Amino acid sequence: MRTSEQILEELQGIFIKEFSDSSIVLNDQSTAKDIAMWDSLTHMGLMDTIERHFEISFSLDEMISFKNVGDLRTAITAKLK
Amino acid sequence: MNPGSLNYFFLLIGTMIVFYLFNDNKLKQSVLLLASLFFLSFFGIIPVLTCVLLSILNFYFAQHAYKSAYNFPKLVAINTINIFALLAFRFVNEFEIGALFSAPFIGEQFVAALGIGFYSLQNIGYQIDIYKKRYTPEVSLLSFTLCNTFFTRISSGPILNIKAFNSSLSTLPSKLTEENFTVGLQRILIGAIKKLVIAERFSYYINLYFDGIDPGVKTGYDVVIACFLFTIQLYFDFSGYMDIAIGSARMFGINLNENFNMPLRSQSVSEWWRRWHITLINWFTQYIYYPVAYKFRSKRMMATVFAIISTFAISAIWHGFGVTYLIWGSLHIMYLIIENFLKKDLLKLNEKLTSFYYQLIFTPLTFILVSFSNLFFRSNSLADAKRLLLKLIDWRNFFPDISLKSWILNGVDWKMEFMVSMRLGFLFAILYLLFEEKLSSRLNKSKFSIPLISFLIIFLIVFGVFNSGTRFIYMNF
Repeated sequence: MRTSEQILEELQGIFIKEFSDSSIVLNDQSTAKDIAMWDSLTHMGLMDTIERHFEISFSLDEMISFKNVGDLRTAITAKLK
Repeated sequence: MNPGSLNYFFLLIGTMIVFYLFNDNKLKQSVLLLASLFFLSFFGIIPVLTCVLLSILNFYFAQHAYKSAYNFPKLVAINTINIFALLAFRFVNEFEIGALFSAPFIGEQFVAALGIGFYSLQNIGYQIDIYKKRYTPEVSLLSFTLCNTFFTRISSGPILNIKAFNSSLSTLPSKLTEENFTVGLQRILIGAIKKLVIAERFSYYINLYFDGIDPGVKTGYDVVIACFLFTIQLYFDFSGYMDIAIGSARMFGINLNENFNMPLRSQSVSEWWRRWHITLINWFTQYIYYPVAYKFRSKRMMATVFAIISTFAISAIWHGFGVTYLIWGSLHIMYLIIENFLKKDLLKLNEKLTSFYYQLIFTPLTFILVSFSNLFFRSNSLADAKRLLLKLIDWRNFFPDISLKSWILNGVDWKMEFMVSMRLGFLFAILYLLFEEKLSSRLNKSKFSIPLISFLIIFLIVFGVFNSGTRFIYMNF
């Protein structure tokens, strides 16, 4: 069972790899505004990578409802239980 | 009736007086609905009937389908009707009016179903939301119909989210607060200035350039000026309408969504679409782009490309049936796909150049790319667009063969009074754009300032072009 901190750490790794940007540092308040490459054009690809990594599945409505990384982490935690 | 015309303002003031006479919320909504139907009736009985009947149909269909399990075939059935109505009336409109842009006098024209492009999207989105169980169906037919017909924004948007709009209807104010009055009046005045002082001054030239009348376009230089001016005109015309729509709604305590966020400052075409016609692009993003990108997300970049193509193909058809709209949509598809592929490199370039130089290069570049696409958006036919394109690529005759002094100001031998008028409009446009951020923030402040309001009114009266009678460009959609 992963802890909340572990999930955030793994997410950070995914973001860094997905956007080829080693300077990314995530916290629960991080939004698309803080990460230059993260926008509506790259969002679905990022979500696909997250789904594969954690072996979970999001609905469309879930994917577009995440306001920040905190929302994303909460949803992943709930699905991994 | 043109928003910005005297008729419109008499209707607005009359509606406000009756609206604030009542305290009952339902009565207030009824006043707004009656005013909206009265506004629509200026365009004939068909727009009234179409809007009301489609509202009733969508309202009861959603309620009934929700109670008896809203399945996919039902969603397809109702949205087929919505899409069919939209396309049918758009088809009739274009054939009746002919070239959309060259028929500017609304009073003398037949508009098959004013605003159908906008309220149909609202209804389609509403049915999808109910089908997806994002929320429960509306319970008030009055509020639902008012959302579709609301007169301040029916002809050109902003596109409303029915649920959000209806929740704002439940808290209509009992009296006109100083804040609503001040912000509303300021927005109406700046909207009228954008339209009548700036956009109107470009009309004569834009029509001359694009409608193929000699001596409209002689050189490639003229085509460049025509495209640049049209992009500026479209912004001031359309955002001016939005200011009037948002300001008028504010008089009733209703906050409509903003549709523009200083798009001429965009440093990329994708940024342009986050700042231009925001409610339309949000609708397309929510109901077309995301579902397509979600469905094919495992295909990664190809999913994005396919979603962009679907979104702009539908957007082009929504704007009109002409090939020119398809070319316009294709250009934007191309821009966005290239930008998406180059995104990482552009970010690196931004770091290298520093944001100052990046902005200095990419803001004009974005404007040029959008203006080029507008050559097709504005041209009345493919033949017209081709005529302008040929001029544009004829590099030997790109600049007019006359003295520097003449062509740097204007290559075409037009009447001096029109030239002065247009240049005045251009000057005001540039001044507005330079101080846009400060002005927008000041105009959204609620402190009533007699000097500011007086200045806006006098400026409008002194510099406004009142005699042309042209309608807002986006009323065509």
